[in-house]
Amino acid sequence: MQRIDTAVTHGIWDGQLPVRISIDPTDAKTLASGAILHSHYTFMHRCSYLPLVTESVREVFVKSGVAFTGHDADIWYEYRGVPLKWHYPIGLLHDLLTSQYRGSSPLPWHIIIHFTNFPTDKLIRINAANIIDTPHDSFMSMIKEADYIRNGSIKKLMSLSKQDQTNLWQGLSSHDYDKFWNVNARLVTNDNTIPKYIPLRVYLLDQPVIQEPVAPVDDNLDCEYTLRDILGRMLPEIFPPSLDAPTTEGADNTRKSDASEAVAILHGIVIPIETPILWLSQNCSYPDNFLHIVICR
Amino acid sequence: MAAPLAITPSVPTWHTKILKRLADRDRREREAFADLFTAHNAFRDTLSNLESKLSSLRIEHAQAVKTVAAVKDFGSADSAQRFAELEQQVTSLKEERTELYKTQGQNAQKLLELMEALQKGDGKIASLEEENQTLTTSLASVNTRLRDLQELIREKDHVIQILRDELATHQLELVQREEQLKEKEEKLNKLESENKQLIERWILLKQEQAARMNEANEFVANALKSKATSPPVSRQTSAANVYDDQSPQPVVRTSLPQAAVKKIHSHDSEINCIQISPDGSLLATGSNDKKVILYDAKAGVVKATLSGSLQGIMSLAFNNGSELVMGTSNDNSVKIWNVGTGRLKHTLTGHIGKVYAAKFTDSNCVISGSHDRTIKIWDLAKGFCTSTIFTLSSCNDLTLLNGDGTVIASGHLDNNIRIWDTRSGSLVRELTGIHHGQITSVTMSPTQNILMTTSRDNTLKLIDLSTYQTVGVLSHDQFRPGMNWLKSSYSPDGKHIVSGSADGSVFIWNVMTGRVDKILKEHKSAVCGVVWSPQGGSTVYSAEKDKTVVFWGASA
Repeated sequence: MQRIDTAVTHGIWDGQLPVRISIDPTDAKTLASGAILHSHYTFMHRCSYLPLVTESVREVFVKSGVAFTGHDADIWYEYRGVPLKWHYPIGLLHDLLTSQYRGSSPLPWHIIIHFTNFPTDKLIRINAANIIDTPHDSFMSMIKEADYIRNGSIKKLMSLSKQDQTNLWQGLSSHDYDKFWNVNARLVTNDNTIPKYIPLRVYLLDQPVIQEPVAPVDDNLDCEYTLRDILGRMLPEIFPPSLDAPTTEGADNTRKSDASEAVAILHGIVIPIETPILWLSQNCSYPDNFLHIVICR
Repeated sequence: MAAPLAITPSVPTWHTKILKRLADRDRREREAFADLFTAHNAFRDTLSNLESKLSSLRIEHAQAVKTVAAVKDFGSADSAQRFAELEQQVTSLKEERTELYKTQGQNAQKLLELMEALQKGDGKIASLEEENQTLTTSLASVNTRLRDLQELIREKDHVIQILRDELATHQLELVQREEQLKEKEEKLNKLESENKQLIERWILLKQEQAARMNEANEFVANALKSKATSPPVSRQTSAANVYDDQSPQPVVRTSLPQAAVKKIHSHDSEINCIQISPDGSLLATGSNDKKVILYDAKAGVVKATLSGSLQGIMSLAFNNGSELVMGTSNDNSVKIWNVGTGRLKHTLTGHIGKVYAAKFTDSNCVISGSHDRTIKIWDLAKGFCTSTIFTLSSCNDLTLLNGDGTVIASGHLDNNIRIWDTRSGSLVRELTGIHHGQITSVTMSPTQNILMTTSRDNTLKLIDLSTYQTVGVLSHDQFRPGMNWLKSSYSPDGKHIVSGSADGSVFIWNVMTGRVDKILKEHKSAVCGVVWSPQGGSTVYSAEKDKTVVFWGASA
């Protein structure tokens, strides 16, 4: 019954992040024999994944003199000494690693590309045989998990035709909104059934990811939970449940007034805390059907 | 199912906020950098183009500098030319060397290949030799097998020949039987008409008899009137006659013949056989002149000459009543003559080889043995062959082991004696290894338990018929049978055996001692048969090949 809010989904889908990619100085010395290498400036889709842009980025660097003959699976990225997890959406990586800026990080986002010394202790190794298969498998397993959280089974996903399942990934990797959402709409609206739980992960910088079963409605109270309800329950010390201050002011005012408070950031914006969690899940989930919410204190 | 909190018609503030913040975000993150990035990338591309151009120019420059230096180094055009020539020479020498290397390499390669080929050839030769050996051995074995098989084929051919002969015999027999059947039918018709006549005659006779009876009755009535005139003597006489008839046969006594009593030449050709009738009154000889001559056994005169055979007569036999004499002929038939009339009574045809022996049985049958490897049993009442026994070897002689001829013994060309059951036609016993030459005659002893055989191995043997063991061997240095159909005889008392030799001597052995009791010399050629008169005494008859029949007696 609740339709997809296309204004919001389009806004989220088209979100692009300006990125400055520099080569690691050690790699530059060994691979480019000390030649001066300029940084590469480019946009990355917030909903995309790093392995999907690796090929074009590598081409640019090779063209400018990096003697890289290895496999794309050996390439990895780093932000301020933190290796970037390729299985996180790029938007999430940015939001989480710049969460101390509370949504106003310096741009473009400056990350470092590495061609050697893959940190196998910190990152999952990408299968070198097929550079795309591993991210694809990872993405599909996330979608399956989301379906399982919603319905307690993955029947809905598995009943999709092979073509539909392919379209999900192809739509994402070629950034084709219609191809992706034609299939995804069925998943996120859950065929107009209220899901058991919401696929939700809460991220805090330098802390383990929090994932708990989150029901969208309270049967007893017969009311929909808001983001505040959920966060208040999951992180009571950060979002005290007693504190009830719905803001009715504009976005700028909210940011100022919330300066000392914790905020929930999703897709690079602060999500109003009174937003119903069900609507949020249906319209603001990442393509993997999860709400990856970063908390900024 | 439905969430109770539906979106209110007025857009909630959080929704507006989200949209606005997304727009803000895009402005801040995307729009602010879009132009900048485009410009930067354009510059970067240009820069890289320029850099590549620069590097190529640098290379060109370096080459130019090098060329200039080289030109400077070599100075004049002459030296340049000399240099060029030298270079060319070096190049050509290098090429030459390369080629030589190549040739060397090829040669080495070829050498290796040849070595390999040689090894392969050696291996092949070895394997071929091995193969050759196995083939030779297999050829040898095949050859031996071939020889064996050929031998087998020869044997089979022989068997086939025998079987063909038998088949021919059967066919002939069949034809004859058909003919005989026709004859019999005709005879039957004749007999039926005869029977009618006889019955009529019998009725007439009966009537006559009745008339005579009446006459007799009348005579008796008359006689009774003149009763009590003569005493009953005649009855005693008749009783004495009956006693005489039933008295045991007088014991036949024999004594050794001492000299020739009579010599007769009556045949035109070689004599093959001699026989005495069971009653001792008739002597018969058969000859290659196709005739049988009957003599009075006492007077020694020819009584009859029986003809009808188309070839020489090989053996003779009388029936028990001495009214029939049978001759077996080389014309494959058996002839039976009536002694009284001298007329041919039966001609038994069916054998497809010379018939060497035939005997009458008590049951009015004839058993004949032939060189066609069969023994045939003929029923004289019907006049045709009732069964055929296949003996696998030519039969030289046969004798009955009992009166009705149900068991017989036959002597064969293959040195063996065979005992047959003529009712079933089955072989009762085959006596092998007794003689080492053809069996010329087999004779039953008067005691009916010993079979006396004569063989071309120059011995006579006595075989006990209950054990089939040889119980006596009779021989002499000078005794040598002169022909395959030599017939020996027992004396009527069974104490002596008489036979003749190729040199004309007649030998008389004592059965008890096994020694020769007497050698009679009168014949000039090989003796073909000797018979002892069934009436005993010293009357012995012998015949030789050269047409002479000798009557022996106690004295000349």
